[in-house]
Amino acid sequence: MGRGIAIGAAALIVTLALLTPNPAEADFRFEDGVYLGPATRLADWADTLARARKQQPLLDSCLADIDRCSRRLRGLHVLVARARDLTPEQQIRLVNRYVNKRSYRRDRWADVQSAVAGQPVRVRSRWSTLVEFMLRGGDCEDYATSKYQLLRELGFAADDLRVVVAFDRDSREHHGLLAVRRPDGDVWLLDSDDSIHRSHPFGYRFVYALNETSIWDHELGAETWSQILESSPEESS
Amino acid sequence: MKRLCLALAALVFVGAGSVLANDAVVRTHTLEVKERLQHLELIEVTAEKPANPNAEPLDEELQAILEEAEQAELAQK
Repeated sequence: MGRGIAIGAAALIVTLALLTPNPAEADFRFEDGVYLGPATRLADWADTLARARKQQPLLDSCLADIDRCSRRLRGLHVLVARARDLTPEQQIRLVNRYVNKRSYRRDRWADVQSAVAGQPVRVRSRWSTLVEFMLRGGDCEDYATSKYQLLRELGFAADDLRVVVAFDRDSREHHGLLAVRRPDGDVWLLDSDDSIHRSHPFGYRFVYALNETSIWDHELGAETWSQILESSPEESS
Repeated sequence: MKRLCLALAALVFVGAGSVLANDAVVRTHTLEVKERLQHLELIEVTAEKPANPNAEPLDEELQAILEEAEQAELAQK
Protein backbone atom coordinates (compact mmCIF):
# COMPACT_ATOMS: atom_id res chain seq x y z
CA MET A 1 0.00 0.00 0.00
CA GLY A 2 2.75 2.41 1.09
CA ARG A 3 4.79 1.46 -1.95
CA GLY A 4 1.82 2.19 -4.23
CA ILE A 5 1.41 5.66 -2.74
CA ALA A 6 5.13 6.35 -3.19
CA ILE A 7 5.03 5.29 -6.86
CA GLY A 8 1.87 7.37 -7.41
CA ALA A 9 3.48 10.42 -5.82
CA ALA A 10 6.64 9.97 -7.93
CA ALA A 11 4.55 9.67 -11.10
CA LEU A 12 2.66 12.84 -10.15
CA ILE A 13 5.92 14.77 -9.57
CA VAL A 14 7.37 13.60 -12.91
CA THR A 15 4.14 14.56 -14.73
CA LEU A 16 4.10 18.01 -13.12
CA ALA A 17 7.79 18.52 -13.98
CA LEU A 18 7.10 17.63 -17.61
CA LEU A 19 4.11 19.94 -17.80
CA THR A 20 5.92 22.91 -16.23
CA PRO A 21 7.51 25.02 -19.01
CA ASN A 22 11.27 25.33 -18.88
CA PRO A 23 12.05 29.06 -18.58
CA ALA A 24 14.92 28.63 -21.05
CA GLU A 25 12.42 27.33 -23.62
CA ALA A 26 9.75 29.98 -23.09
CA ASP A 27 8.29 31.79 -26.09
CA PHE A 28 9.94 35.04 -27.11
CA ARG A 29 8.20 37.84 -25.23
CA PHE A 30 9.06 41.49 -25.64
CA GLU A 31 8.57 42.15 -21.93
CA ASP A 32 11.16 39.52 -20.96
CA GLY A 33 13.98 41.65 -22.35
CA VAL A 34 16.02 43.67 -19.86
CA TYR A 35 16.71 47.15 -21.21
CA LEU A 36 20.46 47.60 -21.71
CA GLY A 37 20.55 51.04 -23.30
CA PRO A 38 19.89 53.02 -26.44
CA ALA A 39 20.61 51.52 -29.86
CA THR A 40 23.64 53.80 -30.19
CA ARG A 41 25.49 51.64 -27.63
CA LEU A 42 26.19 49.04 -30.34
CA ALA A 43 28.33 50.94 -32.82
CA ASP A 44 27.78 48.73 -35.84
CA TRP A 45 24.01 48.77 -35.41
CA ALA A 46 24.01 52.54 -34.81
CA ASP A 47 26.11 52.97 -37.95
CA THR A 48 23.66 50.80 -39.91
CA LEU A 49 20.72 52.92 -38.72
CA ALA A 50 22.61 56.07 -39.75
CA ARG A 51 23.29 54.63 -43.23
CA ALA A 52 19.63 53.62 -43.54
CA ARG A 53 18.60 57.23 -42.79
CA LYS A 54 21.07 58.45 -45.39
CA GLN A 55 19.72 56.01 -47.99
CA GLN A 56 16.09 56.84 -47.21
CA PRO A 57 15.72 59.51 -49.97
CA LEU A 58 17.01 56.98 -52.53
CA LEU A 59 14.57 54.38 -51.22
CA ASP A 60 11.66 56.87 -51.16
CA SER A 61 12.40 57.91 -54.71
CA CYS A 62 12.44 54.27 -55.87
CA LEU A 63 9.24 53.43 -54.00
CA ALA A 64 7.53 56.45 -55.58
CA ASP A 65 8.63 55.76 -59.16
CA ILE A 66 9.91 52.43 -60.47
CA ASP A 67 11.88 54.18 -63.22
CA ARG A 68 14.10 55.69 -60.54
CA CYS A 69 15.02 52.28 -59.10
CA SER A 70 18.18 50.41 -59.93
CA ARG A 71 17.44 46.98 -61.40
CA ARG A 72 17.70 45.11 -58.12
CA LEU A 73 15.46 47.57 -56.29
CA ARG A 74 12.64 47.35 -58.82
CA GLY A 75 11.26 44.24 -57.15
CA LEU A 76 11.13 46.19 -53.91
CA HIS A 77 9.00 48.87 -55.56
CA VAL A 78 6.51 46.26 -56.80
CA LEU A 79 6.43 44.48 -53.46
CA VAL A 80 5.75 47.60 -51.39
CA ALA A 81 3.19 48.97 -53.85
CA ARG A 82 1.24 45.70 -53.83
CA ALA A 83 1.65 45.02 -50.12
CA ARG A 84 0.11 48.34 -49.06
CA ASP A 85 -3.37 46.95 -49.79
CA LEU A 86 -2.85 43.69 -47.88
CA THR A 87 -3.72 42.87 -44.28
CA PRO A 88 -0.84 43.12 -41.76
CA GLU A 89 -0.77 39.32 -41.51
CA GLN A 90 -0.36 38.99 -45.28
CA GLN A 91 2.29 41.72 -45.27
CA ILE A 92 4.33 39.78 -42.71
CA ARG A 93 4.13 36.55 -44.71
CA LEU A 94 5.01 38.30 -47.96
CA VAL A 95 7.95 40.23 -46.53
CA ASN A 96 9.34 37.08 -44.91
CA ARG A 97 9.32 35.15 -48.18
CA TYR A 98 10.52 38.02 -50.32
CA VAL A 99 13.56 38.78 -48.18
CA ASN A 100 14.39 35.08 -47.72
CA LYS A 101 14.70 34.69 -51.49
CA ARG A 102 17.79 36.92 -51.56
CA SER A 103 21.17 35.30 -51.78
CA TYR A 104 23.10 34.44 -48.62
CA ARG A 105 26.51 36.05 -48.39
CA ARG A 106 28.69 35.49 -45.35
CA ASP A 107 30.19 38.59 -43.71
CA ARG A 108 33.89 39.25 -43.88
CA TRP A 109 35.96 40.24 -40.88
CA ALA A 110 36.05 43.99 -40.34
CA ASP A 111 37.25 46.54 -37.81
CA VAL A 112 34.42 48.49 -36.24
CA GLN A 113 34.82 51.47 -33.93
CA SER A 114 33.25 50.20 -30.73
CA ALA A 115 31.00 52.68 -28.95
CA VAL A 116 31.42 50.61 -25.81
CA ALA A 117 35.16 49.93 -25.75
CA GLY A 118 36.04 53.28 -27.34
CA GLN A 119 38.47 51.57 -29.71
CA PRO A 120 38.26 49.44 -32.85
CA VAL A 121 37.12 45.85 -32.41
CA ARG A 122 37.39 43.09 -34.98
CA VAL A 123 33.97 41.65 -35.78
CA ARG A 124 32.59 39.35 -38.41
CA SER A 125 28.96 40.37 -38.25
CA ARG A 126 28.26 43.59 -40.13
CA TRP A 127 24.67 44.75 -40.18
CA SER A 128 23.25 45.78 -43.56
CA THR A 129 20.53 48.22 -44.49
CA LEU A 130 17.60 47.17 -46.66
CA VAL A 131 19.10 48.85 -49.73
CA GLU A 132 22.52 47.26 -49.18
CA PHE A 133 20.96 43.85 -48.68
CA MET A 134 18.87 44.15 -51.85
CA LEU A 135 21.93 45.13 -53.84
CA ARG A 136 24.43 42.56 -52.61
CA GLY A 137 22.71 40.01 -50.33
CA GLY A 138 23.83 39.30 -46.79
CA ASP A 139 23.71 36.83 -43.92
CA CYS A 140 21.09 36.03 -41.33
CA GLU A 141 21.03 39.25 -39.31
CA ASP A 142 20.73 41.14 -42.60
CA TYR A 143 17.60 39.15 -43.48
CA ALA A 144 16.18 40.19 -40.13
CA THR A 145 17.15 43.88 -40.43
CA SER A 146 15.77 44.03 -44.01
CA LYS A 147 12.45 42.57 -42.89
CA TYR A 148 12.47 45.11 -40.07
CA GLN A 149 12.99 48.02 -42.45
CA LEU A 150 10.45 46.72 -44.96
CA LEU A 151 7.74 46.30 -42.32
CA ARG A 152 8.53 49.81 -41.05
CA GLU A 153 7.97 51.02 -44.63
CA LEU A 154 4.60 49.28 -44.55
CA GLY A 155 3.60 51.12 -41.39
CA PHE A 156 4.48 48.72 -38.56
CA ALA A 157 5.50 50.52 -35.36
CA ALA A 158 9.11 50.22 -34.18
CA ASP A 159 7.75 49.23 -30.75
CA ASP A 160 6.25 46.09 -32.29
CA LEU A 161 9.43 44.98 -34.06
CA ARG A 162 12.68 43.58 -32.71
CA VAL A 163 15.65 42.02 -34.40
CA VAL A 164 16.45 39.02 -32.22
CA VAL A 165 19.80 37.29 -31.94
CA ALA A 166 19.48 33.69 -30.77
CA PHE A 167 21.93 30.86 -30.29
CA ASP A 168 21.00 27.91 -32.49
CA ARG A 169 21.90 24.73 -30.62
CA ASP A 170 21.73 22.65 -33.82
CA SER A 171 24.24 24.59 -35.91
CA ARG A 172 26.12 25.92 -32.83
CA GLU A 173 25.96 29.40 -34.37
CA HIS A 174 24.19 32.63 -33.56
CA HIS A 175 21.21 33.40 -35.72
CA GLY A 176 19.17 36.53 -36.48
CA LEU A 177 15.36 36.58 -36.59
CA LEU A 178 12.71 39.26 -36.66
CA ALA A 179 10.10 39.34 -33.91
CA VAL A 180 6.78 41.00 -34.74
CA ARG A 181 4.31 41.67 -31.94
CA ARG A 182 0.74 41.22 -33.09
CA PRO A 183 -2.22 43.22 -31.76
CA ASP A 184 -3.36 40.21 -29.68
CA GLY A 185 0.04 40.19 -27.92
CA ASP A 186 1.33 37.09 -29.72
CA VAL A 187 4.81 37.32 -31.17
CA TRP A 188 5.65 35.93 -34.59
CA LEU A 189 9.28 35.08 -35.21
CA LEU A 190 10.26 35.40 -38.86
CA ASP A 191 13.02 32.96 -39.75
CA SER A 192 15.28 32.95 -42.79
CA ASP A 193 14.21 29.37 -43.61
CA ASP A 194 10.67 30.68 -44.46
CA SER A 195 9.21 29.52 -41.14
CA ILE A 196 7.12 31.84 -39.00
CA HIS A 197 7.38 30.56 -35.42
CA ARG A 198 4.50 31.28 -33.09
CA SER A 199 5.92 29.37 -30.15
CA HIS A 200 9.48 28.78 -29.02
CA PRO A 201 11.43 27.51 -32.03
CA PHE A 202 13.11 24.25 -31.13
CA GLY A 203 16.81 24.65 -30.43
CA TYR A 204 16.94 28.44 -30.09
CA ARG A 205 18.17 30.28 -27.00
CA PHE A 206 17.40 34.00 -27.19
CA VAL A 207 20.40 36.22 -26.43
CA TYR A 208 19.49 39.82 -27.16
CA ALA A 209 17.15 41.97 -29.19
CA LEU A 210 17.24 45.44 -30.65
CA ASN A 211 15.27 47.92 -32.67
CA GLU A 212 15.98 51.45 -33.87
CA THR A 213 15.78 52.85 -30.35
CA SER A 214 17.01 50.28 -27.84
CA ILE A 215 18.85 47.10 -26.93
CA TRP A 216 17.44 44.41 -24.61
CA ASP A 217 19.08 41.43 -22.94
CA HIS A 218 17.13 38.18 -23.27
CA GLU A 219 19.82 35.81 -22.04
CA LEU A 220 20.46 37.26 -18.59
CA GLY A 221 16.90 37.76 -17.41
CA ALA A 222 15.53 40.42 -15.09
CA GLU A 223 16.28 38.25 -12.05
CA THR A 224 19.96 37.84 -12.98
CA TRP A 225 20.32 41.54 -13.70
CA SER A 226 18.72 42.53 -10.42
CA GLN A 227 21.14 40.19 -8.63
CA ILE A 228 24.07 41.74 -10.50
CA LEU A 229 22.94 45.25 -9.66
CA GLU A 230 22.18 44.37 -6.04
CA SER A 231 25.57 42.75 -5.55
CA SER A 232 27.48 45.59 -7.21
CA PRO A 233 27.57 48.02 -4.26
CA GLU A 234 29.13 45.30 -2.09
CA GLU A 235 31.68 44.46 -4.76
CA SER A 236 32.64 48.10 -5.13
CA SER A 237 33.19 48.73 -1.39
CA MET B 1 34.55 78.30 17.25
CA LYS B 2 37.22 75.63 16.91
CA ARG B 3 34.61 72.95 17.67
CA LEU B 4 32.22 74.44 15.13
CA CYS B 5 34.95 74.35 12.44
CA LEU B 6 35.74 70.74 13.32
CA ALA B 7 32.07 69.80 13.17
CA LEU B 8 31.67 71.51 9.78
CA ALA B 9 34.80 69.79 8.45
CA ALA B 10 33.45 66.44 9.66
CA LEU B 11 30.11 67.12 7.96
CA VAL B 12 31.82 68.03 4.68
CA PHE B 13 33.99 64.91 4.92
CA VAL B 14 31.02 62.59 5.56
CA GLY B 15 28.96 64.28 2.81
CA ALA B 16 31.75 63.96 0.26
CA GLY B 17 32.27 60.34 1.26
CA SER B 18 28.61 59.51 0.71
CA VAL B 19 28.56 61.27 -2.68
CA LEU B 20 31.70 59.37 -3.75
CA ALA B 21 30.19 56.11 -2.51
CA ASN B 22 27.05 56.72 -4.60
CA ASP B 23 29.20 57.49 -7.64
CA ALA B 24 31.10 54.24 -7.17
CA VAL B 25 27.84 52.29 -7.22
CA VAL B 26 26.70 53.98 -10.41
CA ARG B 27 30.07 53.37 -12.01
CA THR B 28 29.92 49.67 -11.14
CA HIS B 29 26.46 49.27 -12.65
CA THR B 30 27.56 51.08 -15.78
CA LEU B 31 30.53 48.76 -16.00
CA GLU B 32 28.33 45.67 -15.80
CA VAL B 33 26.16 46.87 -18.68
CA LYS B 34 29.25 47.97 -20.59
CA GLU B 35 30.83 44.54 -20.22
CA ARG B 36 27.63 42.89 -21.37
CA LEU B 37 27.37 45.16 -24.42
CA GLN B 38 31.02 44.47 -25.28
CA HIS B 39 30.22 40.77 -25.19
CA LEU B 40 27.13 41.20 -27.40
CA GLU B 41 29.05 43.38 -29.84
CA LEU B 42 31.50 40.57 -30.55
CA ILE B 43 28.91 37.84 -31.19
CA GLU B 44 29.11 36.54 -34.74
CA VAL B 45 25.61 36.23 -36.19
CA THR B 46 26.22 34.04 -39.20
CA ALA B 47 23.93 31.00 -39.22
CA GLU B 48 22.75 29.94 -42.68
CA LYS B 49 19.40 28.17 -42.91
CA PRO B 50 18.18 26.23 -45.93
CA ALA B 51 14.53 26.72 -46.86
CA ASN B 52 12.23 24.66 -44.68
CA PRO B 53 10.10 22.39 -46.92
CA ASN B 54 7.48 22.24 -44.15
CA ALA B 55 7.03 26.02 -43.98
CA GLU B 56 3.45 27.15 -44.49
CA PRO B 57 2.93 27.79 -48.23
CA LEU B 58 1.93 31.23 -49.49
CA ASP B 59 -1.56 31.73 -50.88
CA GLU B 60 -1.97 32.47 -54.58
CA GLU B 61 -2.34 36.22 -54.15
CA LEU B 62 0.97 36.55 -52.28
CA GLN B 63 2.72 34.13 -54.62
CA ALA B 64 1.62 36.26 -57.58
CA ILE B 65 3.08 39.40 -55.96
CA LEU B 66 6.38 37.62 -55.36
CA GLU B 67 6.52 36.55 -58.99
CA GLU B 68 5.67 40.04 -60.18
CA ALA B 69 8.47 41.47 -58.03
CA GLU B 70 10.89 38.90 -59.41
CA GLN B 71 9.88 39.74 -62.99
CA ALA B 72 10.40 43.46 -62.33
CA GLU B 73 14.01 42.77 -61.39
CA LEU B 74 14.62 40.68 -64.48
CA ALA B 75 12.97 43.07 -66.93
CA GLN B 76 15.11 45.46 -68.96
CA LYS B 77 14.34 49.15 -68.51
